[in-house]
Amino acid sequence: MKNDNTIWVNVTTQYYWSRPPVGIVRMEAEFIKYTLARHNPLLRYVVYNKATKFFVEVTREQVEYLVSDQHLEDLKKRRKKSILRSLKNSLKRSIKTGTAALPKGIRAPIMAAINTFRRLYLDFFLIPKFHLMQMLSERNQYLSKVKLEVLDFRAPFLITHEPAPIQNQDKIVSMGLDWTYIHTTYFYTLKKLGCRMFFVCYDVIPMKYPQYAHPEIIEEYPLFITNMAWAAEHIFCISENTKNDLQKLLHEIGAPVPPMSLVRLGDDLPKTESPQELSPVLTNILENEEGYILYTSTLELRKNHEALCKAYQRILEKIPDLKIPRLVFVGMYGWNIGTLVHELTHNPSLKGHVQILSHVTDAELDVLIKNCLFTVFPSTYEGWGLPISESLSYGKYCLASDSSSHREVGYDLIDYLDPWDVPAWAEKLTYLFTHPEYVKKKETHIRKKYKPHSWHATCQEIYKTVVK
Amino acid sequence: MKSDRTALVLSIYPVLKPKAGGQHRLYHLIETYKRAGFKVIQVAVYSPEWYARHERGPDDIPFPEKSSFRFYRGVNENYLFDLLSGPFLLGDEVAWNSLLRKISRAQISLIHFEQPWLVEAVKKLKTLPHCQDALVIFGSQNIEDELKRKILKDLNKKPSFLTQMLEEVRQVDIEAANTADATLVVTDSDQEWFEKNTNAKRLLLIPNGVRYMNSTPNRIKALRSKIKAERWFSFVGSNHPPNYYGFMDMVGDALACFPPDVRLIVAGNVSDSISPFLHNSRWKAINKRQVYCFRNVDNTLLDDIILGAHGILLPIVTGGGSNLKTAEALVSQRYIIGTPQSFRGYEEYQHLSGIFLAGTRDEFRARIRDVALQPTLARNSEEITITKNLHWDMLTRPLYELISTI
Repeated sequence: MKNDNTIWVNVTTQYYWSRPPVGIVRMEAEFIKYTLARHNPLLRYVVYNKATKFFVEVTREQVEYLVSDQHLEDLKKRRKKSILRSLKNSLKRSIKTGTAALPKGIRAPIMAAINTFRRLYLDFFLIPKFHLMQMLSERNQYLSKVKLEVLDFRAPFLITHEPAPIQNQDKIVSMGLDWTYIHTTYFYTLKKLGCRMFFVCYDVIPMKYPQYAHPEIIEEYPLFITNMAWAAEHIFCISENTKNDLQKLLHEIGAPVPPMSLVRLGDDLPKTESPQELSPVLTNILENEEGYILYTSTLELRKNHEALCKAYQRILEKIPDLKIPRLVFVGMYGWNIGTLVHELTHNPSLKGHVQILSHVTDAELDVLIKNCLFTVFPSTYEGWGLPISESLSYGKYCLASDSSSHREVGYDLIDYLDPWDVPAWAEKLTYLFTHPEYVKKKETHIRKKYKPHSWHATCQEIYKTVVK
Repeated sequence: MKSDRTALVLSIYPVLKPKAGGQHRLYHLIETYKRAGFKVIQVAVYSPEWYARHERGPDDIPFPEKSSFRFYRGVNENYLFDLLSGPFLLGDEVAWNSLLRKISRAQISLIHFEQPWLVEAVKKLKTLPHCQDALVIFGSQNIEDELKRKILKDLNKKPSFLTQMLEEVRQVDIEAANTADATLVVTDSDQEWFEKNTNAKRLLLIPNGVRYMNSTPNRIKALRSKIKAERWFSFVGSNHPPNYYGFMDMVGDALACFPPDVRLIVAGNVSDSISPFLHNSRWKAINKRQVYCFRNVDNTLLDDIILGAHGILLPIVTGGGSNLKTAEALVSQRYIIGTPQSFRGYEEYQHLSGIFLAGTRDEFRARIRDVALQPTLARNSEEITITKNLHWDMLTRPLYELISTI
């Protein structure tokens, strides 16, 4: 029987995400690129409109832009604009507080001048801009919400307020940060319409270990998981461990358990050209006499950067003469990392031994991985453990924690340690620093045995199941 | 003439505003007496700290918390109240005289005592000239010593006098049945017990029934709009431990077994226990969306909740006797998800369509998930007729026939 139902790809995360891509954003982008390359007329794209609370269709050209390098460049510019806006706002607040402190005699004329300026700004800039928006907006009743969205500077383009023509039996593929951007009960509404929904589950951390989750997610995530369970035709899990955890949790909360399968994440970094000029910070790291080891992950409690810091301190205190490589953390600043930042700022023993790089391009990361002595991954829990597989795909040895899915990623090619056992980390790191031949031997083995998995293959697995 | 006949009804709780199952049962037995043409004097020996002023009847007699009769072998505990209410009514001069005043002008044709506790007072009343010809009816609700044993176990209490006290309770039950001209029992198994252990003259099986419920499409529409959902399940109960323990056991602290657009309405005082249980749970975000609690419900709202529900939950795992909520659920013609225990006393109905029994939490939740997605239950007329037998006026027919002959 000919299957001519539309396959809708949810590109909401690409639309709203305004920071450098993280794992999930990357996965969604890879899948979108894969589908764009299919040139299948049945593939169409939707963004969740937060104002209307339903999916609206976006064009292929718009989606191409969302996953383009140009979009990343524009995002950087918009971030700058956004910073300028916050500065303007704080200036406004300062003026307000400042004028309140002025002597009564001169307060009135200064306030009058500011008000005149504000009126002119409103009449000649903001109000005409709103009128323009009104003309652009197809439905006036949503104007106020559109206004907010556009003025947010973050939306890459204006989206429509007409629901996407999703039909009974259509398929919908969703794999982004849905719990952040979507009122996920909507998924169940679509299921009741007769749609067949496909999701990717990355982990259940906010439910299993809420202490590690961002406070805003702790409440939203269980609802997302419940809604997903009720709506899903199929869930792709990124590891056996994630699949087991998800099944266990769904059973615990009483939700239905939909069919699930495993999908292995790709570990090829985007092809990049070598950076024309290295930043002074990067040059400094690369030229460090003792070399460096690399930990790529967002800075947050769960990632257990602390264990590495403590292990380093232990080594430095026990063997003061040992020349140890620099410990380089690459990743955005996450949440709940006050203690870690305090430690890194004020611990004199770690000064000069630990360095954080928070905005690193793909090209720079490529250089950093290629040139490191080895990588480390002490994370306490992961849905998969992408940094391990990325390290292996570069032929680099990784010292990882023995937790969650890590052995599914690294097999017996690397070594594992209890994430909480600081003395063991200190001991093993000392051994690795003093026995480079061991690392080399491991790397030879990795190069021989490890088979990298391409993002193309990952997306193909998902696509095949969806179109089946 | 029949209208001159007076019935004296004695109990240990007021029935002016019935809430608990036992109160409802007695209320409907009194209605039967009235329907048969009796003028009813209802006297309850009640504990003042348990009932608000508006819940007490004009002839009810308080059994003060500080009364010397509230002590059993030096112990004053709530679970002893029923057993001690008999000696109090007999021994407390004020209470006894108050009772005599209430019946002094009437010729009593019938004395009904609900549960066995006041049997000694009934025996003394029978010696009075205006009561001596009265037909005595004992309304049993449980096998009391078995229930008492269970309550003490649930409360984790093991008083030193446990064995003697339980024997005393058993003897009160036996004495009540032996004294009465007719004993009303709730279940088949209760009937068997009385047949085996007493010399009851006549046993009438009157299972717990239900009142007629009614609602209107507009009222149900208003409820839908209030809870913002088209479909819901209901769980109704008093804040009686078996009710909330059953819910906790069978449903658990996460309500993800309900589809995102289906709600659970918890109605009645059981909300006092269920609401904190669900809202302090680790899964409170899910529960907050799914559950809607109505603590205070009058009959109108209760009818809307039950008759508008898609299904009714009866997660009963303990407790004795038959459950009024089961009968209500059966006559509502809604889906029922229950346990084998919840159909105690209603075994003959459990094969009707739309009834699902589950013995474990997993099964119970799976049933909720399945039923939530089913179309509204449509029973055939034959099945509907069968369930109509559960209304009080049908079930009390043997009693009505008995007293009509007086």
